[in-house]
Amino acid sequence: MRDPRLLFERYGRQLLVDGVSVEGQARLGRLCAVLAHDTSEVARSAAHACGRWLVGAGVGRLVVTSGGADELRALDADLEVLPSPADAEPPCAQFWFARRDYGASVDVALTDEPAGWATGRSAAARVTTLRWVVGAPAQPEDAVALGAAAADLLVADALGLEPMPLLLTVDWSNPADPHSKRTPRPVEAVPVGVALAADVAPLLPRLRALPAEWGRIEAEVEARYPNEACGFVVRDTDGNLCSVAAPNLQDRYHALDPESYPRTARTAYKLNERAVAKAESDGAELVCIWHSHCDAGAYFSAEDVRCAAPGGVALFPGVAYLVLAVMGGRVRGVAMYHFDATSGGFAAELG
Amino acid sequence: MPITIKIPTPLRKFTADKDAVQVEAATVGEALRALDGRHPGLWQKLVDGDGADAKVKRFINVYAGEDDIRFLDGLATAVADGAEIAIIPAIAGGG
Amino acid sequence: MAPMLPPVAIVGCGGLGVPAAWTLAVAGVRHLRLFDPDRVEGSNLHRQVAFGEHDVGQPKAEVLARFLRRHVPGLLVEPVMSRVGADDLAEALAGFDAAIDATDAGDAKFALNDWAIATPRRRTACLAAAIGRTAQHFVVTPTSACFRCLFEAPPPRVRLATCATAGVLGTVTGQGGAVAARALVRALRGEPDAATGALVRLTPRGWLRTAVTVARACACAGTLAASA
Repeated sequence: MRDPRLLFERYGRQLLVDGVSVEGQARLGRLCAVLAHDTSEVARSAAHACGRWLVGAGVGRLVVTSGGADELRALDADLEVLPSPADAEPPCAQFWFARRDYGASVDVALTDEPAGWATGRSAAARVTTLRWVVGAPAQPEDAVALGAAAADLLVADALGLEPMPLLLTVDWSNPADPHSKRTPRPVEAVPVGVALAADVAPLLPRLRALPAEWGRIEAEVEARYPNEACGFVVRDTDGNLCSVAAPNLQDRYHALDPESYPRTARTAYKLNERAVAKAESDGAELVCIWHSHCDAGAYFSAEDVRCAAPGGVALFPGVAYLVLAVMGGRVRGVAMYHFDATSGGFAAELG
Repeated sequence: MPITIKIPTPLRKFTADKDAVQVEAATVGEALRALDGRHPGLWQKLVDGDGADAKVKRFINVYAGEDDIRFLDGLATAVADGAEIAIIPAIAGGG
Repeated sequence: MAPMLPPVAIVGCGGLGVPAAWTLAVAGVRHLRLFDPDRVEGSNLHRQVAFGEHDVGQPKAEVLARFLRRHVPGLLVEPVMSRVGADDLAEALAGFDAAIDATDAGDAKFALNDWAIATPRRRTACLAAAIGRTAQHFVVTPTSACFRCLFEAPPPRVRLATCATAGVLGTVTGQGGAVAARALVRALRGEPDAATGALVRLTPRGWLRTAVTVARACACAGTLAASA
C-alpha cells in the first residue's frame, strides 16, 4: 500500500476533480486489469496505451498478455504485474481490444466478487462494450485515443464518477456530426446460486465419462478462444448422449444491431438455433446447451440468466447449461447449471 | 396455400398445444398478426411495439426459410404461399 | 501507401502533449520537435503516462523524446527545453508548417493560431486544451475558419481555472491529446475531419462538435482572401 503522502502527490490532480474521493482512489488500487487484444497492430498498441493510463490513474495490478510488462512496471514501483490471466484475482477488469470493419471495439468484463471468480459460482460479471466507429477498420492514429477511451470507462467507474454503461459508441464516421452514445446498463435482480433439487440427475459426470463427446466440447472452446464457443448436447433415439459444436453468431448480430446486441463474440454467444431444430427434427432430444467464458470463471453470468430465462421464465426448462472457463486458451474449470422452477433461479451441480 | 408457423414448446400453452398453426399472409408481420388473431396475446409475447418500428423481441428468433428475419426485411419480409415460418427461442448468453 | 506526413512541432509535453506526440509518431509523422521548459514532477505521473517514477526531475521534452524513439524506430525527435511564446514562435518553428499547442495557456493558443493564419496561408495548427473532465481541440487549416473567429481574444489569465486548481483526469487529457493529434493528421492528409475549422469537445456526456464560420471581421478573413 502506498504512503498516504505519496498518494496525494501522485494522484492529487485526479483527487481534485469534482466527485473523486480517496475511497474511489483506493478502489482503483485494488483492481486487477487484464489486457488482451487481437493480432492487429492497432489493437496491440491501443491495449498498451490503455495499460499506461490505467497504471497512471492508480490501478494496482495488471496482466498483460503480450510484452510491454517491464515498461509498465517502470511507471509505478508499487504496480503488481502478474504473468497470466489465470493469476488474476477479483476485483478484476478484463479488456479485449479488436479491430473491426467499422473501426475497433473494446469489451471490458468486470467481475467484482472474489468468491465468484475463485469458485465459478458468481453472477457478478458486468460487461461493457466500447465501439469506436470510424467507417473503416481502425488506423494507427486511432490507437492511443482508443486506449485512453477504454481506460476512461474503468477509471470513471472505479472513481465513482460514471458507472460503466452496457454500450458506448463513439462515432467519428461523419465529420459533420461526431457523437457519443451511452446505453446504460439495465438494473436487474438476478436469482442464482439456489440449491440443486434432489430429483435432478447430475449430467456433468455422465458427459465427462464420454471421452469423444467431452473431447469435442473442449477442443471447440479452446479452438475458438479468445472468442466464446457454443454448442449443445442431444440424446439420440438410441439414448446416447452426443455433443455438437455450433457456430457462434454473436458478431453477426452485433454488426447488424449493436443497440440490441452490444456484446461481441469475445464476451457473448448466440447459437444458431436452426442447428438445434434440425437435430430435434431427426428425433433427438435437447438436454444441454454449452458455452465458454474467456479468461473468466465458470459461473452462470447475469447475461446467461437473462438470456436463458428472460423475466424469470426459462426458455428451455428441462435443459441444462454447461459453462466452461477458458484461461489463456486452456479449459480451467467447468460447471453445469439447471433451472429451478420453484425459485426461478439456476442451481449448479456440485462438481 | 397457407403459411405454416411452427410454434416452440414454451409458447404452445397459447396455441392449445398445437406445434404448428396455418395462416394466410404475404409477410412475416401479417402472419404473426393472423396468429395473434387466432390465439390472442401472442403478438405481445413475440414483438416489441406495434407500428412501423415493431421489432421481434431479443429473446425470440423468427426464421423465414433458412435465415433469421433480422437479416432479411424484418417483419416486412415477404413469404410465399406454402412457406414455413419458425418461431424459436434464442439460445444466447455470455460471460 | 499513405502520403508522407510533414514535420510537426508540439508545444507542451504534458497531459495533452504526450498522447498527441505518441499519436503523431505511430500515425507516420517522421520528424517531431518537442517544446517544454519543465521537468517531470510526481504530480504529473497520473496523466503524463510516458513518464515513470524514475523520470522525476528530468526534462519532459527529453524523456518524451526517448519514449517515442523506443516505440517508433527511425523517428527523428528534437527535444527543446524551453518555453515558446508569441515573440519567439516564428523562429522556434522555422521550417515547420504544422504544429499542436498542447499547453495549458490560453494566450499560447492565440499565438499559434496567429502563426497559422499568417499570409500566405500554408500552415496547419491544432489547438488543444483540457481541464477536469472536459477537453477540446480546434484545427486551423489554410482554408478554414480560425480560433479567433470563435473567441476574439484570450481571457485574462487570472480568471482561468487550471489543472492545479480544478484537477484533471489522465484519461481525459489522454483522449483529448490523442484525438486532437488524430484530427491534425487527418487535416494534413487532406481528409475531412470534425475539428477542421470547428471546436470539438469531450464532455462527461461524450464528444460534441461546434462548427465555426469565418467571421467577416476576423484577421483570418483577410489572410484567406489574400491566399485565395
